[in-house]
Amino acid sequence: MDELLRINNISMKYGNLMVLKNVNMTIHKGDIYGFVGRNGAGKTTLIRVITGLINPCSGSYEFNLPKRLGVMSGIVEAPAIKENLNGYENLKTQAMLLGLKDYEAKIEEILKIVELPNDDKKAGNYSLGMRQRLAIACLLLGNPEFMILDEPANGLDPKGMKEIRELIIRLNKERGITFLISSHILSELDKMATTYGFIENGKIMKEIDAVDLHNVGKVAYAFKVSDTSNIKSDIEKVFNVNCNIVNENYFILDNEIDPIAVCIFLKGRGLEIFSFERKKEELEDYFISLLKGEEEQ
Amino acid sequence: MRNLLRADLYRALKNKLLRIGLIITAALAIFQALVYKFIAIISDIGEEEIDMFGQVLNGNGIALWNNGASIGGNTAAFIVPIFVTIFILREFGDRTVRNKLIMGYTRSQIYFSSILLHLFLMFVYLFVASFFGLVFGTIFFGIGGEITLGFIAMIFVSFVLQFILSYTVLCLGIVLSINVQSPVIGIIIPIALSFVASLINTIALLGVSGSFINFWSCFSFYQSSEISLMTNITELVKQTFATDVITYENIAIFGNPLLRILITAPVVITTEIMVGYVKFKYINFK
Repeated sequence: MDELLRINNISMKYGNLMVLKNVNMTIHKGDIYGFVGRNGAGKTTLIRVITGLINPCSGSYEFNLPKRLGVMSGIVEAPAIKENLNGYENLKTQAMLLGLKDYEAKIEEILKIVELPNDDKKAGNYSLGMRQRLAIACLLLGNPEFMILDEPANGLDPKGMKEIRELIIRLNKERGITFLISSHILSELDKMATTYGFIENGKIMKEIDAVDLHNVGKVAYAFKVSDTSNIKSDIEKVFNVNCNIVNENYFILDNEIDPIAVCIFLKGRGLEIFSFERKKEELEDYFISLLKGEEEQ
Repeated sequence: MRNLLRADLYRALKNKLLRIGLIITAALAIFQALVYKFIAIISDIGEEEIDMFGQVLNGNGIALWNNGASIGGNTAAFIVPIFVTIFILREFGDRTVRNKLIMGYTRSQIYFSSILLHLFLMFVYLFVASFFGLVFGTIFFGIGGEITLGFIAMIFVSFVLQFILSYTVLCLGIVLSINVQSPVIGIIIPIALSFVASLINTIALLGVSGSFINFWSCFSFYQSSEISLMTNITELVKQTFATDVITYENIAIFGNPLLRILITAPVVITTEIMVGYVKFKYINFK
């Protein structure tokens, strides 16, 4: 895939505090790039740098995008909508900014895409989800090729989150828009991102493809049995895995094993098996393990 | 830049705050004319004194009728920078500027279109203030002289001078708004500035006899009378501290007060705009 954005050694400091430390990052065309980090890790600062809102102390970034208004668009922290205007008027202002001429039909079309009504309701009276969708609608007017959404799920209820997520996936698939989405709500990113970048203390810890992340994600099996005493060493010996006894009924095997073989083994020991479950390390676990690694270093 | 201006103008026309500001400006112009009329009535002064009173109000010897424009102009000069500064600060607050930057406009385009927009808003405000001041000034004080071409020209000059004055204060508001990015401070500063200037004016009125130092003369270029900023300050210093520190003759460059205004005002405005521009170009939008 073609590169859309390449960030080279960007550093930034506020006062004496280094908030970005030689950040390198690459976003490819067609990606939904999940930018993951804790609060204060440097996500928004990096987004501000690449959107031109702040000037970095050092480093550079290059976009592989045509030069025209609206080709890149974004919502940084909060949507730039006018609360005293209704949805249509907000879009009309944006259309004027973009220099669009026959914008009425396009506004209608985009309102349908983001599923917002064309009525007199002021944006100030919109729900948070509606505001986000209106903001995205404003961005869509410019036919963007790259959209940056900083914490788009912030403050949204589960329904609102789902709506925004579905909209992002649809725009990515149908219009080929590349996204950079920062969030600390990892379960949301997990459902849409195709690539991840992990940032901590102003440093990029890891960039990884979603498929690779799921491949490296560790597998574990949780068993619920009638008694867990005196089985640990035998299981570890027979199956060559780590066996963590959680309590008298639960134990976890932290590797890929044949669960049926384990069940047969347990039955042979006269134990009753109530249930077993295969668990795969999720984005959250992966992020936490990266953080642990960072702290140990 | 034309697109930027169009969009900003559309938003400004839809802005309730600016509409309220216009109503308040008109109301204040009328109120001020009323107050002057009331003072004239309770003072029980005759025609000549009223004329003198008019000259004092105007500060430049233009006949009473023109006081309407002056009254309105003074109101606008005070109130417009406040309202427009609030408008600018809201631009920062609601992330409009950020949106423009992200979508690809340069900082220069954003800044200079903003300057042009505020120039236009300033004109509208001042026009409303002067119109109402003029109408009610005429109703309360009469025309007070013959309407000649020169007379109308004086009104026009008065309007232009008020415009220059107000725009200078407004530009200061823009620079401050960009620098502080805080609605509270941005609003307080123009009000405080106006208050301090009014205070100076009051002191000057109390201390100087024979010549009127109006509030705006403290900003130098607003002086269509024979009094320049430095003479005002000189007079003020002389009257307040009974000492002759500076002499006007030593520092006067241009004899013609109008010429002084027309030269100093663009210099001051350009300086303010460029200071604001340099700041805007490198400011970090956190």
